[in-house]
Amino acid sequence: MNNDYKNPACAQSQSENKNKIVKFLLDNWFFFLLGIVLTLYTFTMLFIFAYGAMNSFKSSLEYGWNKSAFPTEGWHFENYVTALSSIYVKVRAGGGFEYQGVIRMYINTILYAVGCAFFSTLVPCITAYLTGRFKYKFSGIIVGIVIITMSLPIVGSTPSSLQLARMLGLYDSIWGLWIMSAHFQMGIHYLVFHDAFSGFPAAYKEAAEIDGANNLQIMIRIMIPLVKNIFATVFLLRLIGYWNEYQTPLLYMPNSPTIAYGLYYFTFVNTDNKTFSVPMQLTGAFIVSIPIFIVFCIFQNRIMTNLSIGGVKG
Amino acid sequence: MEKQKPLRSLNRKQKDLLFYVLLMAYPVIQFCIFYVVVNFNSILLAFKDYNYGTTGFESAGYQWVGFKQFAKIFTELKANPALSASIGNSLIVYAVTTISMSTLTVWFAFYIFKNKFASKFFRIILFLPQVISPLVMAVMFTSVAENVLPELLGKSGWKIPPLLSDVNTRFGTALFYSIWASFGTSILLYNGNMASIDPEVIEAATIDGADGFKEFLYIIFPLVYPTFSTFFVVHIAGIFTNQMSLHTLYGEMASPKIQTFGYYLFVRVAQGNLKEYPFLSAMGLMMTFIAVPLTLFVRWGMKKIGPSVD
Repeated sequence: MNNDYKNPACAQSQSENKNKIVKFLLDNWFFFLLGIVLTLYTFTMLFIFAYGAMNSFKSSLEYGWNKSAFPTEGWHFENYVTALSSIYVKVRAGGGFEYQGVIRMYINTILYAVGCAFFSTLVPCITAYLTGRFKYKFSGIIVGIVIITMSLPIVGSTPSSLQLARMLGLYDSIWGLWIMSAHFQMGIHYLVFHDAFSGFPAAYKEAAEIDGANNLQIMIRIMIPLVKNIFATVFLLRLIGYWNEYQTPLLYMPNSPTIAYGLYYFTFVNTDNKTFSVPMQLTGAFIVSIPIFIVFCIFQNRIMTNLSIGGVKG
Repeated sequence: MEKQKPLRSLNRKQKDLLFYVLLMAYPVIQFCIFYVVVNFNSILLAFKDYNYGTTGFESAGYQWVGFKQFAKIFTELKANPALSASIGNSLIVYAVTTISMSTLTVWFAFYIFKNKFASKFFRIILFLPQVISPLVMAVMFTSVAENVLPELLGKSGWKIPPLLSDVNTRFGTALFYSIWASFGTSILLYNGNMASIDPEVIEAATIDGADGFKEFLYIIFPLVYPTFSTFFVVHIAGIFTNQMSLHTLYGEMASPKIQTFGYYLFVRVAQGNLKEYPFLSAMGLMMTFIAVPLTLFVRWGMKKIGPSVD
């Protein structure tokens, strides 16, 4: 064995291997570093999820003395039933008040999130198509508006926006928020569609024109289907965003609460002794997350598609 | 009387223009009302005050008061520690989040783009904060930072306070959380950008002996720089609206010492007092006057110092 070690051919081969390893490490140190950071990030994420899930099955009493170990007094699955019946929001109705529960809040959420996601995807898509296809000066102005509104730091216009929403009768209505969310300005998604439409050759449109298609037919039958994958991705991203958002419903439609707003109310406002505890708050959090997490699992490949905003310079 | 011209007799250019005007009408009207009018009204509101009226509900409304609200800002800056602290905190949050987010996001995207170890899994993990509601993330994070970690580490003899309540750790912990829970869509956008880079350019760099970092610095970064600078400028635009996730972590009960201006403004708007609107608009207007030149300067700087694609 020792003789082998002293063999010049073997020593040379070992030295080559060593050099290869050193070269590999030198070439990839940046990736190792990033890999370590990403592993740590993943660990913290999974740690928080695991502890959140575990503690959601503890009784409030047990959580008082056992916050970091497995439940010792049994798994309290009934926490989920209690939380389901305890997530509610007190709203104004008629001349008085009423309590809206989970089912009503899920209906509000579906109407709010699907509607806002659809219109806030459709409007930038059509605007991007128009500005990309028709090279009028006005199209250039629209692109300029998008760039400027994205980078113009306007602070504190919410009171004015609320005042206007009240004046136009859009306040406290789901359809009012559909209208308010359906815009092209301040939108990175406009740039995504703009980039996509700019990449299509004019021959598509010209061929359709020769076949006698009018503008609407070209847009609906030729151009929009070409971006249907991007449309679906942007729609799903928006859907998730609107589903999870609670601040806009809190300000603009306090009497049609969404499930995310319900969780806010459950966590910070509703101080009922039966549910005002960390395990119950965690349980409420999981109840709210499950539907959108299922949507993510089903459409994961579609949502995680690469998007591009190249081509538009600010 | 001249007969009305039927649609069929319009020539191609006229039809194009008609189609363009009809479809562009809604986005333009929406923009005029919900951007131009809202912001213009916000400026007007800053010069008004709400009067509850002396003869009942009908006489209540907004009245012109000149610069009264602006004078009130200076009084409040002296009297209200939450407001003065919030401006300083916003600047700190901005500097830390912009630098860390901008660099980490593009580095992570590069790692995923190069398809390194477990990159698909990391991509999903990085996207999770976008899928899970910020409130849900905050509830889970709070329980760990406040209860689980102090107990776990306490068992091994390392005593730490509840991280989100302790005076010395709450700001840093909230800042860490706001960065930790902010990855997601921007990584997809960078990956889209990187995927469109000509593979021959990357191959040439590898043949020339460039390691991973050099490949990133000299090939990838210059090519994704337009996206990078867009995000960088957009971050600045949020300098005084960034809430540092305080509302999701504390509701309306965040300590005045750790509040950001975005949080301070949101909480006061959410309280829904009509009398407050003019004062809040005046504060917003003032912060806009600070943020606009800063944004324009950074935008100009980003263009100047940007790496060359050549």
